[in-house]
Amino acid sequence: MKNILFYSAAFILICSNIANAQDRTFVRTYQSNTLPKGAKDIELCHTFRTGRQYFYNRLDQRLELEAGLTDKLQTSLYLNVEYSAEGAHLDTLGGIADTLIDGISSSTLFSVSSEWKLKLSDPVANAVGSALYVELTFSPTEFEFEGKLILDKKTESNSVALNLVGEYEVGLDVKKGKTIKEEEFKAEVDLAYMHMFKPNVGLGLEVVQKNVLVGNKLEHAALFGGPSLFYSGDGFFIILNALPQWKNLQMNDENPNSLNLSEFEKAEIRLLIGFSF
Amino acid sequence: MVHSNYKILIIVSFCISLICCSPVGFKLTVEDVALAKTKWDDSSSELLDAGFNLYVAKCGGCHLLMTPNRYTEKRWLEILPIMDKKAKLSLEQSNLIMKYVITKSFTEQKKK
Repeated sequence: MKNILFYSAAFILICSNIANAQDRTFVRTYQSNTLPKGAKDIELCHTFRTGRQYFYNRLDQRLELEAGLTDKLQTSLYLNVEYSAEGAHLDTLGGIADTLIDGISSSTLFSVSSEWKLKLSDPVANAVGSALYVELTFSPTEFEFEGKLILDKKTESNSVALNLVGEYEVGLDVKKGKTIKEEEFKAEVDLAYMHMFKPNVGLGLEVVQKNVLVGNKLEHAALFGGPSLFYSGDGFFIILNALPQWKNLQMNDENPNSLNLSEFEKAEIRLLIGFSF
Repeated sequence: MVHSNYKILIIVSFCISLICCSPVGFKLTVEDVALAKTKWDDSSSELLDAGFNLYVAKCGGCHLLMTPNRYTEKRWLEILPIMDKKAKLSLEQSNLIMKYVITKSFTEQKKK
């Protein structure tokens, strides 16, 4: 049902009188461009994540409505759905697969996000493009605040972007009948490069370094990287990226292996489709 | 301590100058203003600046910003009416952008 709603919205927009889409060339790494005042955009983002110590598959879908409030300030509203299916497991300390219990359980999480992006300089007309980004996410069990510093540079055939990301997350849990708060801080560095073979076709690479801190302690850190393929037409763009995990950067008793499969997945595949109207 | 503050100041100044400076193909010069005045009586550096800012904001928000000398005056006059509709520009905004790109296109091509 959720998928039908998403695809219906996209179909209506394709059939309407669309003009031109904002050129975004990466699926994860943001660029400093903002929509001009009055311009609107819709983006559909699908992410498939797979592979943990136990059976784990997850599909994240985001529907984003973007609008330019001024020529340098853009806002967006996201509707998010996360559907995950995981094999029954108890503890997997040390990467030892648990085989005591059977079955697959699934869960769905709905949330909404509000994004704000302020452009400070242009990636083509200035030496370096830059922007500040803030995103707030609410769900029945979680609150997230995310901030980014975006730096990028664009020429006719090359784009490069760097994001420094900080995310504060408060989750709710129930233990022994009492509701408790769990805080987490995530830091991320995203680096991306794309070469445009034609004005509307590009191939690039995105590298992501993820860190999770609980309290003041770095609990998890891993490096990801993979290719991105970009294609755009009149009024739309499509970007496909595969992002396998390369290395566990924080080996400890809980994550002693070369890949961290307790906090992160073995691979992610993301498809992003954008339309303007 | 003084030494490290000095280093931070240099790094910050370098970053600000990188962010603020415009690559040569976009930057307005005295020569551009003089040329624009010969083509349009009401031209001034303020109006050309306004055209540049609109060009960056309205055009660069949706697609790669082309350096003005990428196209000739004739080609710009073919492209701009099509893009005006897509970017929903007013006549005044469209004129400012047109005067900026045509001026820069001419002066940059002349240098070659």
